[in-house]
Amino acid sequence: MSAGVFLDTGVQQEAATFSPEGVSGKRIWLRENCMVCHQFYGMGGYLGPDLTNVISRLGSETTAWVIRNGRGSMPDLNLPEEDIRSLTIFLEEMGETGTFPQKTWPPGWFPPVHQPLPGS
Amino acid sequence: MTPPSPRHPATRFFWAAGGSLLLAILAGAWAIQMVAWSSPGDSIETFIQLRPIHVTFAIAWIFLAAIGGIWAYLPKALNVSLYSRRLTQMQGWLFFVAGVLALAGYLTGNFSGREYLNFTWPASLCIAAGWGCFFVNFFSTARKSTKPWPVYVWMWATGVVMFTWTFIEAHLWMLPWFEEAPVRDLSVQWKSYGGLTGSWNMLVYGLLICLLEQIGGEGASRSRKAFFFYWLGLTNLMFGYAHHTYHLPQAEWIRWMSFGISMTEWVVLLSLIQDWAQPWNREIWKKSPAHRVPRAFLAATSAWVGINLVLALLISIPTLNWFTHGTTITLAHAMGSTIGINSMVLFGGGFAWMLSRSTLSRGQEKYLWSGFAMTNIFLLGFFLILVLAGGMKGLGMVRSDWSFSEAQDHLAPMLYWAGWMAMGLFLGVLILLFSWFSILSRAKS
Repeated sequence: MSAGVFLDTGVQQEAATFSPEGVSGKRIWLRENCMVCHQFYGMGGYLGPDLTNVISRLGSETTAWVIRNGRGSMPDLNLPEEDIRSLTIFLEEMGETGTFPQKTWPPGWFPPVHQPLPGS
Repeated sequence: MTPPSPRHPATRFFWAAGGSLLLAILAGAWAIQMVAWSSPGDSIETFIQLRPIHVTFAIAWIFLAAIGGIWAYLPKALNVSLYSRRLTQMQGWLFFVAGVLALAGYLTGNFSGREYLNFTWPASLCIAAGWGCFFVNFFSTARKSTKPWPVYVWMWATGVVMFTWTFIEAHLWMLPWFEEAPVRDLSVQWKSYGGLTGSWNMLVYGLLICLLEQIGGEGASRSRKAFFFYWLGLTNLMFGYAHHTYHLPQAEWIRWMSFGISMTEWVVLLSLIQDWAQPWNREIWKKSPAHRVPRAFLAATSAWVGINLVLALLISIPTLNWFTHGTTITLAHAMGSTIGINSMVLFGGGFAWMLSRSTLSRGQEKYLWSGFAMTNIFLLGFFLILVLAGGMKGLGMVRSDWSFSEAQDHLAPMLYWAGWMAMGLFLGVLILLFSWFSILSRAKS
C-alpha cells in the first residue's frame, strides 16, 4: 500500500499536473511559507481559510488583489506582479484537482474520488 | 588526582531536549496569543516565523529526549557496552548545527514551506548525517547482545529504520515527478508525516515499556501480548496514515485499507480498558516509593492514551471525518498525543534516569508536582475547547455553509479561552522544565 501511494495516488491524476507557470507559483507558495496559515484539502495551518478552491470562490482577479494588498490578518507580501500571476495560476490549477470542503448533507462515507469541480 | 569521568551520553541529549522544549513553548505561547487574542486586521507576520519554530523544536524535543532515553537504558537493558561514545558526540553536534541552521532560517525568513519539516536543505542534511551516526551506533550496540531482544528494543530499532525511510520520503517533493503533480505531492507529504509520527511513537512507546520493566520489574516485554501490540503498531505506522487524507481525491482502495487498519486500534482501546486500573495500583506504587515520580507520569500517559484513542478512532470514521477534518479537532489530537502521551513518557523516562543519579528535596518535589498537575489540567482544558471549537466549525461549515470568516467569528470566544488554557499549559511545562534542568544539573554521570 505504501508503494501504492506513489503509483496509484488516484484516478484523477492523469490530467492533474502543474503547468510550468503553476510550478513557479508553487515555489513562491513554498518560499512565502503560505502553508503556515492556509490549507489544501484541509491540511495545513488554521489561521487562514482553506485555499483548495479559492479561485472558483473569489475569481482570479480578487485572489490576485488579496495577494497584492493583503486582507484582514493576511499581510501584503510585496510580491512583484509576475509572482502574483504565477501564484494565481498555481491556485487555479490546484483547484482543478477536486473540491474541499464537501458541503453535501447528509454526509457520505468517503468524499467522491471523481469530485465535481465547483461551478461545473 | 583522578580525571573527571566523561559525561554520560544521555545527559547531553536530555539537555538538548530540554532546550528545544523551552524554545518550542516560548514560540508556542507567543504564537497562541496572536491567534486567540488578536483583533481582526492585526498583522500576523511574526506568526509565520513562530509556528515553524514551535513545531520544529517540539518535534526536536520528542526525538532528542527519546534518544537520550535510549542511550540511558539500552546498554543496561541488553547488558552490553555502548558501541561508540564518539558517534553519540558527532550525532549531538550535527543535530545542534541542524537546530541552529533551522532557527537562523526561520528568523531570516528562509523556509522550505512544508508543514512539519519547514527548514531548508542544509539543516535536512545535518539531520540526515546525525541520524546516520545514530543508526550505526544503535545497531552496533544492540547487536552485541547474545540474548533475544525484548520488545522495546525491537520498537526502537523499528523507529530508527522508519525515521530513515520517512525522512527521505518527506523530501521527495524536491523531485519534479512529485513537485509537478499536486495530489501526488500532497499524498506523499501527508503519508510521510504519518510515518514520521509513527517512527517517533515507536521510540517513545519503546521507552515506556522499557521504563515499566526497569522501575517496576514488570517483565512483560518478552510476552506474546507485547509482540502482538508491536506488530499492530507497526501495521498502523505503515498503513494507517491515510485517515488524514480521506479528502484527497485518491484511489478508493487506499482509503478503505487505511480505514480498516485504523479500526484495529479498537483492540488497543479494549486492552487499555481491561488494564485500566494497573497504573493506579497502590500496591505497586508502595513496592517502589522511589519511583513515584516516573510512575505518576506513566499513569498520566495511560489516561491520555485512552482519551486520544477514543478521539482518533472517532475521527477515523469517514462520515465523522467530513466534519472534523481541517478543524481544531485535528489540533487537539496532535496536542493530546504529543504532550499528553509523548511528553509524559519522556518526562517520566528522563526523571527516572536522573533521579537514579540524584536526589530530590521535599521543596523540589512539591514544585515538580505543581508543574505536573498544571500541565495535565490545562492540557485537558485546552484539548476539550479545541474539540468543541472544531466540532462547531465542522458542523457550521457543512450544515450552515459558514464562510471562513463567519466560522472565525463564531469561534472567537472559544479561542479566547483556549488562549488562557494554553498559557496555563505553558506555565505548567515551564515548571516541569525548571525541575528537569535542576535535577539534570545535579545528576551524576
